[in-house]
Amino acid sequence: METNDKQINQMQLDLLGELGNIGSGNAATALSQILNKTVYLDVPNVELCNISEVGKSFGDPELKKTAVFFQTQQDVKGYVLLVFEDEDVKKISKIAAGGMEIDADSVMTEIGNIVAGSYIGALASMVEGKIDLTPPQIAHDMLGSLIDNIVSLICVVADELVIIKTKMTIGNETIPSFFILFLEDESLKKLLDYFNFEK
Amino acid sequence: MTNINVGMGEIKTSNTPNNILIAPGLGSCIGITMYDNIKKIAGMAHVVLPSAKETSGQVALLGKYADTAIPEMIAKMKELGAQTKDIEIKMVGGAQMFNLERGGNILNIGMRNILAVKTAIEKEKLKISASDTGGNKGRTLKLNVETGTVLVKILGQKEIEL
Repeated sequence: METNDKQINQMQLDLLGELGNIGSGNAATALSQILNKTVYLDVPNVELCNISEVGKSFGDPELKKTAVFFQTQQDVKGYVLLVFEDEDVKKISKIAAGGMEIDADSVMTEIGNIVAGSYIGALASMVEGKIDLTPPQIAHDMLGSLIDNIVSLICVVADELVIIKTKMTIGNETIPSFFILFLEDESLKKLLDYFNFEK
Repeated sequence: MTNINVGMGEIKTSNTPNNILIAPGLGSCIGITMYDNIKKIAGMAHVVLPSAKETSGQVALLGKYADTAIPEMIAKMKELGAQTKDIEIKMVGGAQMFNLERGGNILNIGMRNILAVKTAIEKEKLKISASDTGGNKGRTLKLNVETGTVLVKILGQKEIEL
């Protein structure tokens, strides 16, 4: 966004939140089916964030996290990042494996696939368009470093970016994880245009 | 000791002895340190992208792009009294955390950032005395204002002095 001359308004942020809400509802259903547990994804929180603050907006940038990453292509271009605590990766993969010995990375990649797939699927049908996801990539590193690569791609022009965050609860376990959807400027404009919002 | 956080696109300088300039969790971004060992003046930039030429808009954050960050950083060092000839420069970061592509092109922002920082420093007729760049691991960079010590931390590894 060229925020120097035009600020995205609260109504537009709310719209993006609502889109995120539908997406995360779908994702929760899909996840609940494979885990055989109740899954909640909190109402998404949509934020407009200055890049110098983005590192801190997700918590301590030095903490080790696990991230599953996708690019979205076709009608809506952007990046999806699912971020989990290392402790929670163990919990989730234990639940998913149901007692079997399964590599935690494969479990998380698959869960990422389902969550991102249903989220993006919902978004695509809302805008009556086609959105593809690239194959997932998984990395374990400092939170800040997992995010900055993507921020740099989004913020070539703007100094601010829109972030859609969701937390999840699986069974009785609250998993303070993030689902982050970063949208490229052009796609953000297209989304807002589609719903007749002036950007 | 007071940690001074240097966020994305920021440039900070200090001559307060108990300050530590810190850029936590650098991925494809580059942390650049400048230090005048005679006057004990320190600076750090957290560069995000190679060139301001990629944007047609006005550049509000000069520290965001390598080509605007380096001259600005030198100017800020001089404001505190640093002499160009006494400035020692180090660079850290430029990792590739994920494989990215757009329109069939591989986007290695980390590598492009490294090259852009080097070019910008050469343009000022200065040299990089030490660097720890590339790879696929995140790094935290610290600069002690009193001693000029530069520390680099990678997860699961011992913090090293650069």
